[in-house]
Parts: sequence; C-alpha cells; structure tokens
Amino acid sequence: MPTIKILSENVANKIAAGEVVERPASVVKELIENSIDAGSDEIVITVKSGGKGLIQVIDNGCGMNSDDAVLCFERHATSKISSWEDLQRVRSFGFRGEALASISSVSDVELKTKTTIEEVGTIVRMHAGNISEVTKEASLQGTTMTVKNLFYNVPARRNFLKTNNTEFRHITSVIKKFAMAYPAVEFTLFHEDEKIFQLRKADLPARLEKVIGKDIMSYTLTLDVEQFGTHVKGYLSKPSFSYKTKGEQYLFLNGRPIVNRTVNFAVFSAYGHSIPKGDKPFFVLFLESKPEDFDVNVHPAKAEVKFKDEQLLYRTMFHAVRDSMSTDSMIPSLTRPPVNESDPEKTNLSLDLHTQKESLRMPLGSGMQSSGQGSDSGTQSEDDVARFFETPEEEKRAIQTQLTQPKQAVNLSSLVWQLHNRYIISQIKSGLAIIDQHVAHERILYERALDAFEKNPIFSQQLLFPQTLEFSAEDFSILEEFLPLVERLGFVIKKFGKRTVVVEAVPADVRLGNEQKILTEMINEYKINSYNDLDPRDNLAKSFSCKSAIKSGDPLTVDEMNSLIDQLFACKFPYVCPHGRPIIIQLSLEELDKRFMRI
Amino acid sequence: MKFSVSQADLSKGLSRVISVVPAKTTLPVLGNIMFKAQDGFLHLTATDLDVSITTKIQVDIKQPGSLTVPSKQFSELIKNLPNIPLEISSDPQFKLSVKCDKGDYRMSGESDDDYPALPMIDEKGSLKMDAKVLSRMIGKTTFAVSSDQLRPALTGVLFQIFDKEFRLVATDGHRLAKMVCSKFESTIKEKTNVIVPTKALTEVAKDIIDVVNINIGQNHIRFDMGDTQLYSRILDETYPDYERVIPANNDKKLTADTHMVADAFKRVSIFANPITHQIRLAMSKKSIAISAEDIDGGNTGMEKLQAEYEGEDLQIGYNSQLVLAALNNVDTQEVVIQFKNSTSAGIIMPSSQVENENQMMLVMPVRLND
Repeated sequence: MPTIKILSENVANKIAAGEVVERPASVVKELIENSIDAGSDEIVITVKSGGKGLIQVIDNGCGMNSDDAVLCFERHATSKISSWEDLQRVRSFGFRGEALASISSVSDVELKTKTTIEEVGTIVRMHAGNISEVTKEASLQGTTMTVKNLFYNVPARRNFLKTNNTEFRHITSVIKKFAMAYPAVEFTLFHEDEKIFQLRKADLPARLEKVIGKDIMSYTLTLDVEQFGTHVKGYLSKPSFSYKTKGEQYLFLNGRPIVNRTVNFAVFSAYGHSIPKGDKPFFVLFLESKPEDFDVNVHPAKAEVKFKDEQLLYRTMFHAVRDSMSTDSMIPSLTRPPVNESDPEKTNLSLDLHTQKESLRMPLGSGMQSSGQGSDSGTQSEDDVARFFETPEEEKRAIQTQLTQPKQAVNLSSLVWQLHNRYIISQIKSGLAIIDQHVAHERILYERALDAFEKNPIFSQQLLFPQTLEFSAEDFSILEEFLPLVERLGFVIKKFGKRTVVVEAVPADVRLGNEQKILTEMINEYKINSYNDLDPRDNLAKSFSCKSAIKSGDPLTVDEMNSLIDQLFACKFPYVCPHGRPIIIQLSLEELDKRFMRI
Repeated sequence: MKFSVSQADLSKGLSRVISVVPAKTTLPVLGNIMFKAQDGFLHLTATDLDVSITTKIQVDIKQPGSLTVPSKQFSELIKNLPNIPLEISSDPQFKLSVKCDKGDYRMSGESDDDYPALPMIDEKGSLKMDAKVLSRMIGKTTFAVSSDQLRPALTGVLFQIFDKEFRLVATDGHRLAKMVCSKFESTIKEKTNVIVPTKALTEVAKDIIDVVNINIGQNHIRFDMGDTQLYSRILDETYPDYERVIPANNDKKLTADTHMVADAFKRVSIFANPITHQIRLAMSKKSIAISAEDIDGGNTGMEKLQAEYEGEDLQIGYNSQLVLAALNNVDTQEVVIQFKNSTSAGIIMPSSQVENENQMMLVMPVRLND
C-alpha cells in the first residue's frame, strides 16, 4: 500500500487556510480587500468575541450575480485576473482566488450579494468548505459576508488565538490601515453590538487626524515627490517630536498596506541623528508605483512586497525624506500649528511652512537626478552604489550643497535678548522664538567641521603664546590618529617628543582662550563616542562642536546673538543639534492670547 | 552723626565711589556705601571686595559718626535734588535723615561694623607719575585684555617696574598691547611685576587729576589720586613671557595714513566672514590690497591702499577686528606696521612716539589656506 496519498481538497484547503487566515484580523483584511475591490464606498464591519464568534462585513460594492456567488468559493476562482499577463499588472487587492476558499474551509460562511442588474439577491451558505444552501432573497445592492465560528474545525489554531481583546485590537489595526489608505470610503466598526467608530468620507489629512490623532499629525512634515516612476506622498514626524509619537510607521503601496525594510531603512537613515538614538520617527507614506516595478505575490497575506530595484527605492525614499526635513520648518512649537495639505506638485517638492504660509518649491538637487539616471542607464559604477549604501551621509551632503535656493525659515528680526545667559529670545512674525545658545552654536560648528573635512578647512588664528600640552600615552595615540582632521579644523599642532605637542594656532572662530581645554575634552569625547561605532569624522565633528561651542551661561552681546542666529539659519538642519535635541522652540501669539484669555 | 553739605559736593563724592558698588552680591552690606564723618571731612567708601574706592569731601560736621547707607536710594535722591544745602544726620538706630528746603527724607542705614575694612598695604615702595600719562597708558592697553576666566592672568594688565621704565602690558593670546613710560619717580628698587584687574584700572583712568602715586604691596595695589584712594587686589598669577614673542627682525614695513587704512579695513571687513572677520593683506612694492571673502555668503570686498611698502612681497591674513582695535589706539597721522612672514606677529606702532613714552601692539595673523 503506497504511503504517499493525494490529500483531499478539503484538507488541502485547511492547510492553505493556515497561511492566509492566521487569525480573525486576517479574515477582516481579506473581506475588506474584496469590498474595496468591488468599488464600495461604505463598509460596515461587525465583530463579536474578538472575531472568534462573528465577523460580518457589509459593503455597497458592485455585488455578484448568482453564478459568481457560488463559484467564488472555489479555489483559484477570481474575477480579478484571467491570464498571467494580468497578474503582472494587477492593481486590485485580490487576484489569487484563495481567500474565500480558505476562509470557508475553516468556518461557517454566509454570503449575501446582489448586483444592480439582478432583482433579487443570492444567499450562499457554506459549512466546512462545502455549499450547504443556496437561496434567493430580496436584498440591498452590495455584498454581506458573515463568518461565524472561525477555526471551529481546527482546534489547534483556535487554541492559539489570544484573548478577545487582543484579537479585536488586531482587527482595529487592520481597519485603521485601510481607513488611512481609503479616506473616501466610510468605515464603521461594531464590536459586541457597540459602535466603536464611524469614519465618514473625508480627505486624507482629515482622515489621518481622525485615525492617527490630531496632536501627532500637527507635528508632521508633508512630503510629496515623484521620481523615477514612483510617487511618494505622506507625512513624517518632525525630528524633534519623534519622542512624542509612538513611532508608528505606515507604508502603503498603491493603497495596499505593506511592510518593506528598504523603505523603513531609508527613512531612518534620512533622519540620521536628527532624532535621539532609539527613537523612531512616525510616518504615513503612500507610494504609487507601476505594478510591473514590484511583486506582491511573495507573501501569502501580501504584506511584504518585493521591488525590482530596491536600491533605487532606497535613494528615492532617502532623498524625499531628507529634502522635506531640511527645508520644512521644524521648529517645535508650544502650540499646535494647523496642518495644511500641500498641493502636490509633480517632480517638485512642495511643502508648507507653518510659520509663513508660502510654499517653497525646492528643485531637487541635480546631483540626485543624475545619480539616479546614472543607475537607471547602468552607467553608475557598482562602487558608487555600494558606497552610497554604506555612507548615505556623504551623498546627503553632496545633495544638500546643491540645493542652491536659500532656506527661508523664520525671519528672526533684530529684536533679540538673552535670558539668563542661556537662551536667546527673539520676536518673530508669529510670536516669539526661544533658541538654546549652546546647541545652536553646536549645530553651526558641527556643520562647519564636516564642511572643513570635506572642502573648506577652517582658518587658523596663530597664537602669541604657543601652548605646550602633555598627554597620556593613550590620549596621545588618539590625537595622532585624528591629527590630520584636527588640522583641517584649524588647529596647528606640532608633535614635540613622545607625549607632548605644541599648539601653534587654533580655529579662528572659537572663543579665545579655550584652546587647551577644547583639545583635551575633544579627545575624551572622541574616546567615549568611539565605543558607539561612529564614523571618525562625524565623531570628531561632534566632539569638536560640543566642546568648542559657547556654553550655557556665557553672556553674549546683541551682535553675537544676531550673528549666531544668522549662522544658525544658514545651517542645513537648524532645528536639531547633532545629539538630537531641539534648538528652537516657538511660542505663538495665538498661544499667548489663549493664556491671557483673550481668545 | 550729623553734618551739612552742599548737594553738588556730596553728588561729586558719591559719583566717584558708586560705580564700584556691585550690582548683585551675596553680601548685602556691599550694596551700601560707608559714610564716616570726622575731622571736617565725610569719607565715602565703596567696595566689591576686589576693588575698593574711598574719597573724601569737605563737610560741616556737627557730630562725628559713621554708618552705611543704601547706595541706590541715597544716590538717586541726591542726584535728583538741586544744588542746595543739605543737612544729613543719623540716629543710634542707623536711621538716616536728609533735610533740605525741598523736604525731609528718611531711610534705614546699617552699622558700619560689618562693612569690610580697607586692605592694609605693606608697601614695597611707591611710584609717582603724571596721572594723565597713566590714564592714557591704561586706555591703550586694557582693550587687549582677555575676557576669558580660563586664563585669569590675561584678564588683567601687567605692571612692570624697572629702573628706567614703567610698562603696562595686556594680551589675550592673539594680540598684545604694550605701553612704556620713562618719566616717573620710584622708590621701588627691585624689578617688580604685578597683574592688576582691568576693573580697577578703568576706575583709575576715570579720575582727572595731575599726579598719581602707585603703592605696591604683597597682595594689593593702591592708587592715590588726590582725595581719592583706590585699592585693588593683585591677581596672583604668572604672566606669560611676552617679551619672547615680540619679533625682533620684522624686515617688511608698511606705512600708511592711520584713518585711511582703518576705514579701508572697516569697509572690506563688511564682506568678511562674520565670525572669523578674516581679511587678506597682499603687499608688494607696486601695490597694497586688502581683500575679504565670505565663502558661505558669497560676498567679496577688495580695496587698493595708498601706502608705502618696503620689503619682499607678502600675503598675510588677519582678523580685521583685532587690527582695527589696534589702529583705533594709534593717535598719530600715520601708522607703521612691520611684518616678518605670514605666520609671525605683525607689529603696529604710531609713526612717532610721544616724548618719554613708547607704544607697541602685536597682532597674530590668521593662516591663509592657499
């Protein structure tokens, strides 16, 4: 007797169901996808016992005629594609024809559907994967899918389900994603006969405010850029507010919620150290891409998507995010500025400045375009791409120096004063800005140091009295290691014996008298940072800027303050210090008016 | 204590001491001015513990005595009274009363028991000189002191007394100013170096009198200026060996009109990097040019100078602010600047020295990157 047998269709379906239908939330996902594919604009989801008891999805889509209603439960029955070529171009959610067959094999399903043409609707009842009853009944246009007793015949799976609450949470999180991607569709959710929410049709920002929360959305940057056939739009948290968000990330590809590590990595890299280590930015990003550029068919639940050119995707995402961050106003506000939806401007980046309501159009760096095209036509060398992936930092700088248009951030007028020798307060159009003098200078010096390493060395002020410094053997070896870089920062250091150096000149823009301290502390800071695997240049730039910057408590003259502000706004990232702390906080007149109960 | 005095006399005495009263202090009594009426004079004293100043005015004493009075309230009152006779008295509870035609004013003073005593000067000797010369020497050196507390020695001015020379030297490590005077009388026999805090010297330079006596002790220095004495703590620090860094053979020499060259520096430095203020001086026998470039802002400025230059061609960079500060202290029509090379100190001097005086300033260059 042969030991190998062909499984019965029923068993095969149950096994397949294990892949597609993992938990009640998966059923909800498959059903909503069908509803959206059917062109519905109102979807009502009813759930009982966390979906274990009942899942019902009612839509007002196109419905099915009586023949289709029966056929749809067959495996590989689909209305969405008919040939292999269709699969290459598929834009609908479903196409494998697997979902309903899988679901019906592990639950009791009732399908009630009616098209506009038919006068009466069709009801199909399924039990254990077989049709138990087909009747006709008067019904509304659209489809109602009722799934009961999920996994009744797969006790192992049923036992793996979590509590009702947990399962329900998974369901809401699925609906949340669809709600974000389809603001024009109304979603209503009931659980245990209680209305949980009803999201009316809205535009994207309004829908996101409802789903994500107004507070989080008000701390976001708008992104809208189209490149290399991919249109990216969405919202990102401002770096300084990364800690305020829960670090949720939502990525949609042509309306389908997906997970893609390349995109996540590109976004995180673009934030760089503008957010504190360990913090995660919040983002909602919508990618529109041609179906032939990616493959959805790699994961049973279609959650993961494979792109044809992941490096191109990385570049597109990295620059889209980086550009929006470097140009948008990222000044944390004590109030919540309104979020305006930006007018999508093709091939240009358009964004809103909350402080001044004019849209700045930043042409994308020509370097970026050419590097992208280069890789398209295959002329870019492998090395370039590899290097780019290793150190996006380099590319970023190249790109940004090519953003020739000056940034108009906030116009800080000459009205400045210093608070407790620590903060600079200045009147701005919309109220007042508070600048932390130390981190502001730190940011300036940091960018200057990086610039010095790249191209323009800092000028050295010769010292009247050269300083002789002695170091421990360890410190001296560190100093020797970064001596060439330190010289580009403006130090002129002569080695003198085995552990002694003579400092003959110091950076011209460092306050007089601090030379020795700066150098010693830089070595210490460098040591600490080197445990964190930083790029030596970045490490040195950080140590240098932190130690050379004016300190909290240093009195500044009005001229010094104005010059500090000017330089700050000449920086690429004037809003966060190299360690991720905010530099500027603004207090709007509106907020003041509120506090004084004027409004 | 009881005396009468004219408003004008009292006002003059107050204004001499009030600037020493510290604005903020942890020792409240320092916010007061000490009054001591005895032997026909009212002695007024103010101190911030580092610098103390005491002056006397002639008053008509009815009853001698002493107390401290709140400086701000009292001086505001006197300042705002017309020049009329005032009668000032205090009671045993240190209530101070000011009576005049305008009215009666009463305020609370305090006992002078807690007021810090003036330092004792264990004199090494004293130096007597023209007060106006000292005042000028102070003015032409204090601009170069460092404001950085990290090197306390450089926050003061070095007083050097030799046999034939009395020198004031100030430096912040990037530039240096030296004033020498050879006309003075001294009882100080050995070579003496003391560092005097800048705050004390600005007070000294204020007094317009003829002769000043400088008394140097172990920890303090005292300036006797007529009715006023100023005491200052001496900075207990080692001054760097500045003589070693004064270049001896600067063989290149630029001679130019002081105002013209200063104005050119001012105009060109508008286009320099606002932080480094770096300007470039390109000199040859044919032409002298000052130029500046701000790479970040994309600004450039350049001027040709009408000046005389002797020596090999030279390009040298400077922080224009440092050069300008030096030029502002040159009183002669023409200024002489001597150079050696692009990394050694430039010497800035007036074209001719005042009799019995010698002025010299050093400015270290900024390295040009090309």
